[in-house]
Amino acid sequence: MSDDLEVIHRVLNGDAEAFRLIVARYEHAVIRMLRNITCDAESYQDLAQDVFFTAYRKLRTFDPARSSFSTWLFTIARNKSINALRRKRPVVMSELPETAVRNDPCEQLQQRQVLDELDRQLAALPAAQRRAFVFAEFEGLTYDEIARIESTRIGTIRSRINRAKTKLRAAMEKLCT
Amino acid sequence: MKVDEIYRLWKDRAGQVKPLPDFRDGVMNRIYRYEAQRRTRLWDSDWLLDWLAGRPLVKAALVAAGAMGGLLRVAFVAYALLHC
Repeated sequence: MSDDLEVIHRVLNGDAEAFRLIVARYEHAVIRMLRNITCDAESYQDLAQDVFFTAYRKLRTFDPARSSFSTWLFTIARNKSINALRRKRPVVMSELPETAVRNDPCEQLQQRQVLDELDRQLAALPAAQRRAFVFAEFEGLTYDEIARIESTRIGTIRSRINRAKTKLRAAMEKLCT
Repeated sequence: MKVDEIYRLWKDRAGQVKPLPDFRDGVMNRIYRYEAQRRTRLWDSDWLLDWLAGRPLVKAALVAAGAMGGLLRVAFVAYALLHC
């Protein structure tokens, strides 16, 4: 965190190249988060570049007293993902392709098919549940951090994550029976 | 396969992302282009909007000043009409 502030200070004093350190530090987390939230194999890298560019432009508005830099950056990424999903037609459960996965025993399935099916189940979750789940399970953020990013109460986040987990667990159990 | 094992495998796979080889350069090139444009511009509205975004008191003061200006204008028009 103090490292981030030092780099931010350098950038704000005109050393734009120092921002490369920020990109290097957070690129994996931002790209991973956007891929899992948007479930879009094509455009998430462009979206991630957009997140960093926006962060650079708005760096003056970052207030360390209000949140950590990573929370602030994830908030930008979250907003970009919502805009990107608005432009895209949402995936609904009834449109998901029926796969052989549902009826066959797990041992006989290709591992990849099972994991792909879980990807589809994740993509079919409501966007807010998917975001909360990805932040908590894939990014390891605390409920408090997620609540700040989503501008909502911790209880709401807890319930979104629980609902997402229940749906995904049910899907996994179905795949394994 | 057990549910826990599937979940672990799935989570591991979801965590495996690789930025494109020119990802950082792509971001930095956009930043340099932006800075070059900013230096040649006389009036930087982006900077002003970003500056205002982090200052709610300044925003409130500007809105109050605008409202006051509007009221004064209405009062002036009313005064002019009544004294013609």
